[in-house]
Amino acid sequence: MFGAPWIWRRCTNTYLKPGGRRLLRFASTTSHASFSPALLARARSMASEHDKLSQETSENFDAKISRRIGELKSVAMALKEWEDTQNSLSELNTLLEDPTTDSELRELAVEDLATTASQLDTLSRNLATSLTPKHPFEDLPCLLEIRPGVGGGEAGLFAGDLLRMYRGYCQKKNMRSSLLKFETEDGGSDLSGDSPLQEAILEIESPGAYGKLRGEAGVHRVQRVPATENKGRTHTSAVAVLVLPSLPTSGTEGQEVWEADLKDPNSDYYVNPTDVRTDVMRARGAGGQHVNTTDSAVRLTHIPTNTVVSMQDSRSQHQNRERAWQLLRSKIAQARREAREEEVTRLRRGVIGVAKMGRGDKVRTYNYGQQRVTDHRSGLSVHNLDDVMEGGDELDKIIDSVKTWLGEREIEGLLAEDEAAAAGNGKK
Amino acid sequence: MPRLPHSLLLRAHKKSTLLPLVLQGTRDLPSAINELRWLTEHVQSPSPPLCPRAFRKRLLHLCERRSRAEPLQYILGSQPFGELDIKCRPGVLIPRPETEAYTTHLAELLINGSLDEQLCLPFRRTLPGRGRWKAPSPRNGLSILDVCSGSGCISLLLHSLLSKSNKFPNIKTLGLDISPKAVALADENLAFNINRGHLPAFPRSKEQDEELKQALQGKIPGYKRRSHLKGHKLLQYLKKQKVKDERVLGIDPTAPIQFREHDIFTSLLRPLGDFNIIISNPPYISRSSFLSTTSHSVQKYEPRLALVPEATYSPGSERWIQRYMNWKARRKGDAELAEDADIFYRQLLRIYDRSSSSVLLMEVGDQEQAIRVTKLVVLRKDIGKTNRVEIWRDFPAQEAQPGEEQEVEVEGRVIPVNGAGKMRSVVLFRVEEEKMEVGRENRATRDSGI
Repeated sequence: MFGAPWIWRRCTNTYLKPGGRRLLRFASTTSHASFSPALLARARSMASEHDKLSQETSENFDAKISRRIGELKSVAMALKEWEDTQNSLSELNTLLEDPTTDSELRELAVEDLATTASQLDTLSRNLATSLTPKHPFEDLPCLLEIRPGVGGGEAGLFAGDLLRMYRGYCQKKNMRSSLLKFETEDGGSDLSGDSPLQEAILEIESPGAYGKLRGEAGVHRVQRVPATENKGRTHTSAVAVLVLPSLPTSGTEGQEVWEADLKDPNSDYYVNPTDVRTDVMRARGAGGQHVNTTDSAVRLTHIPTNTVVSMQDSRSQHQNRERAWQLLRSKIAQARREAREEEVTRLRRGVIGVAKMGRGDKVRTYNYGQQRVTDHRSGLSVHNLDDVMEGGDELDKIIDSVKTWLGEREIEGLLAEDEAAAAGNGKK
Repeated sequence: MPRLPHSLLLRAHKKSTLLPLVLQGTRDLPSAINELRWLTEHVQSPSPPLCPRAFRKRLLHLCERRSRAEPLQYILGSQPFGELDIKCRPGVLIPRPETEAYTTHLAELLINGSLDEQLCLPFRRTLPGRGRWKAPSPRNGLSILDVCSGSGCISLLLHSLLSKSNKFPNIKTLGLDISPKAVALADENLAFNINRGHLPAFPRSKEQDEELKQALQGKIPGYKRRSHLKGHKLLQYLKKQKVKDERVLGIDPTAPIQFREHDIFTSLLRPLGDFNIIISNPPYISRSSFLSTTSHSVQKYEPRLALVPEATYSPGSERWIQRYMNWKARRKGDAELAEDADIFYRQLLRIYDRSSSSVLLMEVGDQEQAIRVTKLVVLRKDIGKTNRVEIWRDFPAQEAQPGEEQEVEVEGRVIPVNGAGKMRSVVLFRVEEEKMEVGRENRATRDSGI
């Protein structure tokens, strides 16, 4: 080809190859410059509703309507800005196309066009974010359940590490956390700190914790040489993390809302007490004064969904029962919400694939050999494993990246839904 | 006691070296695991924390105590009871979960209003010459008597639950126990739970305190110290002096909860006062079943006084026991009724009748005893005909399990059995006389006579 010796040829070829493949991972990149007409129509209808409602409230005040206005306001504002920019963009375009425009003005217009276009991009993103519905549990405190999966004792050990990581994270973020349940395999001699964990539930009491940590749910994979391994082989184990919204019992802020919700049969949090079977320990033998038992375990079974919750951490049966109820309520609320989301996902599936994160999906890998943590959803890799395991800033970075990813997924879903709806209308 | 299998001990040892010790006390692995955790937490709790060596030593010591079957509650010094924390000490019975279940259930019934009708019934003095006396309505006050109060758990939990509901603005609770140790502990528990905010604080003036102190020391005439007059002598004294029992016991009429040392067999002739509710967890284990059924740990460490009725013989009560034995001899044929485990129930029924209360709850040991006690009630001419009787199981608020019968027939009367578990208590509710068809004529003649 070039007449060069064969050794060179390869080098030169590689060198001259236009736009050589770079080893980069492009996960989820979406452009917002163009806006789907379906989404736009939805935004317009919301804005008009906002105008109508605010006119109504100027005459008579109603708490419910004003709350709705608050929800719509951000959409209306974003839409207004977006439309303004869109108008100026089209004005500029007509100015450019007009042959009578003098050259100086044309230059200015070209300059303006670039800035306006970039502005439009950010504004569209704003609009899309404001359109995504707020997660209904966003403001709640949460329960973080950690259970070892495949991998035996090593998985239990890593589960303990994860628990320490989340506790450290909560401490750094000034979120109040407490251990609701902590079971190790050898029965709670946690003095040494390295007995394999069997199950732990961390309660994070600060409001908004669910919104922050809901992206953590899923399977966390670890690749390392375990402490129990004597031949130096790397093992891969998995730990399941489950994030549940925790429902305020009473006496906290927002009480009137939740109190009502707990008693309202239509609410997600409502659990009919007659559906729940309570099992407490039955004394062996004669019972009463004859025996003296310390068994305080309580097991609740929600019969319609067959959800079982058991609690035996506290010596007080009363306290165990209260905690078990809290956990059961959270679990059922989560399951109900997931069921509803499942329906929506089925709608979207054709377009974006599976975006739901549940306990079945691997979400993150902790590789000790390479000192690397990779999140499989946002595609972010971080090479400061120690800081992550201490719950430091690096973990915060990962959690934030997952949050943005989730937001984008939701917008995509929204688009898909609207398109599907539009297609359905078109067919009719 | 059967030996623990080696395999079990080995399994425990693999998990933790201290576990086999605890296992010897608990006899089963899951609860041993829990108890070891609680013991560890208990040793960890003091601040500043112990140094590792002292920590291990202390933990080992506690585990060794547990391995000798000493109850965990005595080692840790407390037992949660409902939302309360009850201190426990050797010499006083440890609160049982079954007791918690029926106390909570009774409180629920009182709060949700299903017993309002009973509470509105007037007190009826059956003592000749006193006539009828109307009680203040339950809206104004509710008085509770806890017989054999022990650590005070029933009184304190009931009082705490009822006062939290705000339905009863004025509740008075009196706990009686024969053991001075128990009364002292109950007083401690009262103060302890007030401090922890589970019970309302009781404001009391200094003068009242002073008066009570003097009364207890026997300085005020009419009030008498109990210590130098016991049992039989006290009874004679009472007869002669015609002093009210309340005064002898040093009962403070203003205190919402109080515990007093008293042998219920000594003062039978006069009512202790007017109580809406009488609740009791008396000793009910017969001598023979104490040796066979009762668990090793309970036999060895818990007070026999609180478990076996015959152990409560005191100089004063002998007379009553004697009477009871005579009665038993007279009815030799009816061996079933004359079981020595039931002494307390007869006495409780007497107190219930004399103070004309509306609700009586008695804990019993097993199904046979429940039926025996029900028989006692039904066969009595006075109480049997003016009371609705129910038997409650271990967990009276729960649905009955399949295979558990929901009613039993005793002496021709159908008695409902509520809840799930073993039969645990016999409950009496006074019914307005017109509503009971049985024995209606009897009552009518008696009422017209007054």
